[in-house]
Formats: sequence, structure tokens, C-alpha cells
Amino acid sequence: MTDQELVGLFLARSEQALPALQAQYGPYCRAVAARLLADCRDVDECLNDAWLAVWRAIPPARPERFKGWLAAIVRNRALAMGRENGRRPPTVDETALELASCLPPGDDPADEAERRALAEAVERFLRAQPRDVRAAFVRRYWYADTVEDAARRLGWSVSKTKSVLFRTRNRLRRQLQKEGFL
Amino acid sequence: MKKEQVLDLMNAIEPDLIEEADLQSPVKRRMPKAARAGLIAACLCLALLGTAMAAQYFGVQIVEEDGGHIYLQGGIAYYPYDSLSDELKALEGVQETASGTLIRTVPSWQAAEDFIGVNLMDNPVLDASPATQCGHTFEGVDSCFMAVISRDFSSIQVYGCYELGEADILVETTLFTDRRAALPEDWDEQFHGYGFTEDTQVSRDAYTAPSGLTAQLLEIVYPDNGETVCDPACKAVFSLSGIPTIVTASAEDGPTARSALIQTLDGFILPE
Repeated sequence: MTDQELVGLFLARSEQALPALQAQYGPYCRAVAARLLADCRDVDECLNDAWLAVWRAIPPARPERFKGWLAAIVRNRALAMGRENGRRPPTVDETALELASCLPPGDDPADEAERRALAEAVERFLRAQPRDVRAAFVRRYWYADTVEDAARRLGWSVSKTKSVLFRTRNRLRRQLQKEGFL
Repeated sequence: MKKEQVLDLMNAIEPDLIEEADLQSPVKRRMPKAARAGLIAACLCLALLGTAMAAQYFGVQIVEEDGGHIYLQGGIAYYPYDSLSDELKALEGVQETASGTLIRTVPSWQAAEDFIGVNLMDNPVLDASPATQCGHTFEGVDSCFMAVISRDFSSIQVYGCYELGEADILVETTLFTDRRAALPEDWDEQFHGYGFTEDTQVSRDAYTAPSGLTAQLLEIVYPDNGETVCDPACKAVFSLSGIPTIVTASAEDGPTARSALIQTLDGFILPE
């Protein structure tokens, strides 16, 4: 089933929509949640919440990139649950601390506009990177892969993956300095 | 920025990038086919030579000639000119120096690689080391990192200087392109030479890193002539993907230089 067909089921409020969603993207979403939640019961709960969120969002939403949009819903829910119950794999904090070293220090930017500008700057930076470097960055800091998992997925050695991530963070820091965020 | 804020910041990543990163198969940046073919040919040539040195040290050979001259030879693959970056190729025909050589100072080794469009080396030990001025200059230009492009684009050298503990590390790589027709007809792939005075102590050795990288080493103790004193230096020469590489460590004493050199060699990641 294509993503368009799947979205069509939700738009039509078909009772096949959720089973089809779970069949198509269940394993992928479970993998996304499992990297962010330490307890498998939390993962189950997260996915149930995510399916409900998708049902409520479409319509009116008509996501163009359904898989990525869905993954973001799962990630947001998993992060919120982990925040509430404190049950998170150590990799989540580890990746956040790694990335924090190249972002503005101290408290979050004061208002929504500043937060959005910073996020847009990071996005622009990522789009200017080679595809494999970008993939390594997103695997580590969005998917919260361990370095070993990211290396395996990319077909790289662990050392090379660490080196690429290190250099990319340095470049991001320099770019944010240039744009006045640091 | 706090952890939670960082995690939330990443929420803004667009869906297409999230999908792109969910790769089904590994993405590799491979040496261009032509360069690989050249490298394989070079391997066969070295194997046919049948010398103990060729069998033991893949790539660069050290050739000693009378008069204290040492040359580095071989280990070269010719990269297609077309595989270089557009930014670099756009400089063809630009005249900046009397020799026609183009010199670009860059802020980092990665910036040099981005400028050229070729991955020259991966070394987390050097990535984590601060840049420094090693005193290496080219046509009067002094910078921690620089790319030097020959007038005919047949060779591109990249230099990087780092501080590693008490030692300075200078890395020199030379990438040759398939503009080899522009090279002299009698060029036998001797790409670098050193001339030492009689009272300079030069000893040779070899080292194999845990990764399998094998390098030939030159340990150099310069004479104290009362005017300028050069620190002892330890050089390693090897070839990575057909790119001859020279790493020089210098420090107040020989053992410190050697130790820093070994640490650097252990940090190289061999191309897959």
C-alpha cells in the first residue's frame, strides 16, 4: 500500500486505516520509540497514543511525507513519556549532551521566534551537508542511535562514525557562530 | 542549552530528512573507479618488482641515493579530474602566483577536503587536536591548513598542522589526478625528496598500526650548528587510497616525537 493510499483510508475514516497503519509502519515506529523509552510497556503505550494522534490529525492534515511525519509523532510522544516517567535509555541523554556542546549555552532562546530561527539554522546546515554525513547526524541526534548502530547502518567503522559526527558538530558550531546564535 | 531543549530542537527536522536517514543499505563514499583501477595496477607493479621492500610496505617506497638524498616514490593512484569539486575546477586558468601554483588557506582539514571534493584521510586523534603553526610555509604563505594546487591540476597537496601533547604534527597529502599527461615523461613517481647533510643522523624503521596501516619511518636528528637548532623529527610515509601521505612529528626530543607520531598513526582509519 502506498502512503497516499494509507492517508486516503484515514481521510475516508475507514476502519481499515489503523490496522493498515500498524501493518505498514508498526515495526518502524516501534524501533523509533524503543530507542527513546527503556520499558517495552512504555513503547506499547507510546504507539497506541501515536495511532490515536494520527487518527485525530488526518483530516485535516494531509502529510506529504507520511513516514517522516508519523515518525515525528512517535518521537514526540516517546520523549514526553520519558520526561514524565524518567524511564529512558542512557543514549537519549548522551546524544542530547553531545549536541548541546555546539548549540547556544544557558537557557532556551526566550521566545518562539528565536527557537524557530535556531531550528531553521540547524536545518539549513544539515541540508548543506553530504547525504551520508546528514544521515549520520540524523541517526545519532534524531533517532538517538548508538554510535555502533549508526555505523552499522551506514556501513562505516565506529571510529569513522565518531570522527564524522565530531567534525559535523564542529562545523555546526562554526556556522551558528557565523549566524550570530553563539 | 539543556538536554530537553536540545531534544525538542531536533523535533523541527523536516520529514524528508528523517526518511532519508532510514536507509536500507549502507551509503559509502568510494574512491572513483578509475583511481581504484590505477591503484590496483600500482599494487601489481609493486608485486612484480619482487623486492622485500615492495612486499612489506604497500605503496610508498623510500629510495636512497648518494649524497644523502632520500626520495619518496610510488603508492599513487590517479584520481579523475572530473571527480574534483566544482569549486576547485572553477579555478583552472586562474593566475595568482608567478609559478602558476594556486594556494588556498582553509580553516581546517575538513574544509580542505570539502574544497577539493575528496576524502583524504580520517583520523579522530588529529580531529581532536588543536591546530597550530608548525612553521611550514609554501611560497611565503603560512597557515595551519592549506591546499596547494599545481598549475596544470596534476597534483593537489594539502597540509595540516596540529599540536599533540608536547609535539607538533605536520600532515602532508598529495593527490595526483589523471592530468598525468602534464607530468614530465620521465617522471618515475618520485614525488618528494629530502636532502640531509652528512652530520644529520637519519635512521629508518617501520611501524604497523593496530588498524593494519603500515608506514615507513624516518627518524631525524639534526646537528646543532650553533645558529639554528631544529627539533628532532620523526616522519612516517604511507599511502591511503593511492594518496601518498607524510606525517612529521617534531618535539624537543626524539622519543617524544616518535611517541606522538605513533599515536597519530594509530588514529588513522583505513578506507573500506
